[in-house]
This record gives sequence, C-alpha cells and structure tokens, in this order.
Amino acid sequence: MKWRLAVLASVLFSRLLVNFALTSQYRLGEPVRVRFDNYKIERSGSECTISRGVFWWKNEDVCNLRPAGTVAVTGTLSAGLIDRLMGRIWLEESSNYTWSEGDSGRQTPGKGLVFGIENFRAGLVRKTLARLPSPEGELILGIVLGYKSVLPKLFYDQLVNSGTVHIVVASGYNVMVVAGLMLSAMLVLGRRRAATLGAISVVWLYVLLAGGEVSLLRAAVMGSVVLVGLAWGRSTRITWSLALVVGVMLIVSPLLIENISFQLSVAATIGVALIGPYLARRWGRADPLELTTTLGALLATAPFIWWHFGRLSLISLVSNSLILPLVPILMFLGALTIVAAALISPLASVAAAPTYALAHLMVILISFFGGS
Amino acid sequence: MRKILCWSVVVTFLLLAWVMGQAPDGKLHLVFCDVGQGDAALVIRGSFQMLIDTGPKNGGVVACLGRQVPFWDRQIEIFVNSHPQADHIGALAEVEKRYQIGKKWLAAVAGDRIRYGDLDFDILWPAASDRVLGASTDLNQLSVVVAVNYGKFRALFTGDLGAEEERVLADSGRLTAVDVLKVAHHGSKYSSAAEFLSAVSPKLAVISVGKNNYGHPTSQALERLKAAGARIWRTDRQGELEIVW
Repeated sequence: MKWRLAVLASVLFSRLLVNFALTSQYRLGEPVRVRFDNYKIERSGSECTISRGVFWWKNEDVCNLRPAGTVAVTGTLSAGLIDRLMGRIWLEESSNYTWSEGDSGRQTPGKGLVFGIENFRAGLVRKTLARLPSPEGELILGIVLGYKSVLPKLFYDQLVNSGTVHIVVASGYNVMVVAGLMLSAMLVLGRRRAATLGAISVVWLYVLLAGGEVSLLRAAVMGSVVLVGLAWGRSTRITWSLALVVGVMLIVSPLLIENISFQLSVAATIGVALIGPYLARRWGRADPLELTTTLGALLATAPFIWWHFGRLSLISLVSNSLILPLVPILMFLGALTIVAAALISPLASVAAAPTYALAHLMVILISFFGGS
Repeated sequence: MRKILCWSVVVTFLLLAWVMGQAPDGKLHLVFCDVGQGDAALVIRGSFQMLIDTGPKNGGVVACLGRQVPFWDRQIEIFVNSHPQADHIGALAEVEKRYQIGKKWLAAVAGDRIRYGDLDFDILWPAASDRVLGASTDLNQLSVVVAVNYGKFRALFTGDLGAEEERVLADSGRLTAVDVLKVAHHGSKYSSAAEFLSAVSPKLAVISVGKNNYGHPTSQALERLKAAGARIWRTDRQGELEIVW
C-alpha cells in the first residue's frame, strides 16, 4: 500500500515540475507563432483540438482543417491561456489569434513499422469497401477499426441524430469487446491462461490496426491489466491494479476525467473486471465461453453512452438499447470479413453475406431513429 | 453452447433470407439518385446496371448504388459520362473503389448503340465531327444524349445540352415521344427549348438538381415543361426517384 502511494506521489510531483518548466519560458503579452505540422484532429462535441508541444488549439474552425495538414497560428499570450500545472498553453480566437492554413494536406510519409501498419490498414479499408456497399461497408469499418473518415455525411448525421455515433469511434469499449470476444474464442482452443495471453495479443494487434490512438493504448493497458489479473490474480489485486493504472493516467493528465473515450475505457474495464465475473458466478456453467465478459463491458458503458451521446433523449435510449447488443456480433463478423477480404478472397464473399445482413439491419435502425 | 450455436444459425439464415429480397425482379428500373447539384442516374434490369453520370464528389452516388444494387453484385456493366464536368463525373473514383465497371463510355458519339437483351441504348448526340479537337469549347454542347428503349418504354437522358443543340436534334427527326425525360442542365433557362419538348412530348420530366446559385431549376424551364404537358419530378424536393416499368 505504502509503495503504491509513494509511486503516485512522485509521479504527481515530477509531472508538476516538468509542466512548470515547459510553460514558464513563455511570458505574458509575448507574441508567439505556432506552426502545427502534420497534426491530428481530436474531436470533442462541436469543437476540435490540435496540439504541438505545450501549445493546444481548440475551437470549431479546427474541425474544418484538412487532416494531417499544416496551420500557423499567431497571437499574444494572456494569463488565462497559460495552464502551468497542466503544462499547456491554449490558443483561442478570443485572444486575438489569427490563423492561416498553409500548404496543408501534405502527409509526412511514415517509416518502418508505423508506415507498414498504416499501409496495411489502408489496404484493409480499400478491400473491405470493394466488398460491401455504402453505407454498410463504412459502418463496419467504423465499428471494427474506428475508421470514420469515409462515412457519408448523411449517414454520419443519422448516427449523431440517433445518439449512436459512439459505435463508430474506436474506444475502450471496442477494445474490451475485442478482448471479451477473443477470450471466448480462445477458450474453445486452449486453457484459460494461454487464452488470456492470446486475447491480450489480439487486443494489441487490434489497437495497432485501429490507428494506435492514445485512447486505445490507454484502454489496451487497462484491459491487459484486468485480463492478466483475472487469469492469475485475486479480485482485490485486480481492483488495485486497475485503480493504480487509472490513478497514474489521471495524475499525468487530469483533464482525462472529462474525456469521453477515457470514461468509456474505464467503465468497460470495470465491466470486464467486476460485472463480468459477477454475472459468470450467477450463471455458473451456463456460460462456458465467458460471453459475460463482453456483456459486462456492454452494461458498464451503457450509462456513459446514454449520457454523452443520447443527451438522455428517449429516442437514443431506445436506439441504443436496440443497436448496442448488435455491436459485438457485428464486430466479430466484420473483423472476419475484413481479414478474409485481405487474405482469402473467396472466403470474404461468404463472410460478407451475414455481415452485410446485420449491418443493413443496423443501417435501417440508425436511419429510422436518426431521420432519413 | 449447442443452444447458442443453433440460435446463431437460425438468426443468420433469417437475416440472409431477408437481404436476399434485394434480388432483381426482372423489371426495368430507372433511378435518379439524389446527388445534390449534379446528375447520376441508373438503368437497372435484372443483374444489368448502367450508370449515367456520377454526380459530384461526395454527392451520394455510392450510397444510391448501395441501395439499388444487390450487395453481392459488385459490377456496374456500363458507365456513360454525358460530359466531363465535376457535377457529372466527380464521383467516378468513389464508384470505382466500390464497383468494377465493365465498359466505360466516356466519349460516345451519335450512332453508337448498345443492346442488352431487350434493352436498347442509342446515342443521339453529339456527332462524331463535333468531337474533333477545337470544334467546340463548351462541354455542355457536347453532352451525350442517350435514348433508352425497352419495349414500348422510352426514356431520354440529355446531360447539360443547350437549347441550340436541342433544336438541331429536334430538326433532325431522330427524336420520338418519350415516357421519361431527364431534363437538360438541371432546369437551366438555356435548355429545354419548346421545339425540343414538343418533339419528345415527355409524360414525366425529371430534374436532377440540388442547392445552387444559378437559380436551377429556372421558372422559364419549368413553364416550358408544364406547357409541354409533362409532370415534373425533382430530386431536390423528392430525393431519390425511381420509375419501374
């Protein structure tokens, strides 16, 4: 107990020190020009954020930037923009910043493993879209790989209106569903510990294929801790390990607490760690494949999903209740189709049929609840 | 475990049976996709599909194809481009990512003809001599005009053809009365000449149009269509349109 607290305290102290050093070199009233190169746009509600070093820029204009482009922002710093504890300097329109988009759209070519994975991912997307019509193909890519840049605008609007847009965002929930499904599948083949290791490997492979975003990496760390804990440890250890991981993440970046993806990851992990085993105990031998693992993640994330995406409207309650249970099945079938399309073409035609059928049912539900 | 497997198999078969309802019915379907300000139309009979124009990039033609073509059919037999402007061919790359295109008819000329069973496609415009480099600088003047004949049914697709070319076509005596006319140039006042409409006397005039700054469809074109006795359907008001024969 003592050493855990000591670790947490030292991480917190180091973090504050580094952040202060990073931001104290900038003075109030000083003009700054920040060039965001090859940025990644993070969407949160109607606003989007890009960052470079200590500089962060968040507003609605950011959402309209081209992905991976270049944009230069200039202005003067004010006290309200410098967040020394967080180590961040926020650039805001209200502080007289002017911005101009440079020769954006240039993608910096990646190298080595990252480049290979990106290429492989692009290949999966291309082959899947060639197998399935629109918007079912895009829905499957969104659900399985969190790949939403190809979603048609009309369908995206329907997802938003129906309160189900979260299903096309690769989040901790997806990671835990993958973990649960893989654990179930591997338990057919081997013993529990071997199956757990297999499931963890697939989870990390999934994270890489889904773009390796920080939110997914966080979820994968949490998921791995819990899966290992479930296979080897005691339930008190799992809870502590999870609390430690979450605590360290929050100390490093306290703003995570309001990050939807982080909340979903923690909820899904708690679902797998606590609700899943509880359901399994209740159902006893009736669940040899541990489908309760997936169900636990589903149940734990549902309140957060309804809160953030449904604005607690009646429509989203109904739409999510109908659509969410289909997500794990479509993830499984979709992953099968995507892999088959990439590796074994004739098998892809067979796998595509039930995958399309289920995706088509979801598209109809989403169009119905989201307005056509 | 056995129960789960049995239920999975039953549900899978039910879902498959449901989507198999997309199987073609053997009738002729003319579909006018809602692609905003642009043109994209599908002629479907059985497993045969001809796409006439694609509309603009991200206009929605791929979603339209997704709705109209069975999911297992990944081939569009023929693609005809009326003329190479962004609102007519801007989404070709998107279509090619999803479907194989059997034959691309990118520069058809009058006299070209394709037969597919009891379906006939006749190209009425432009003349081969008009395609000579420098003969015309206005791409609209070179719009491919396709006549679709299926039994007694006639449909005419006119791209962005202008009134002057329409009059030449009307004078040529090659036009017959049609059931469906794809109104030229999204209802521009510089198209749909009264002489042309009189020659084709359409029962139904379809205007493929979206939000625009040109005033399309113009009141002048709408008046002339009404005077010709045509019922008017518009994709901007009615969305995707389908005619089954």
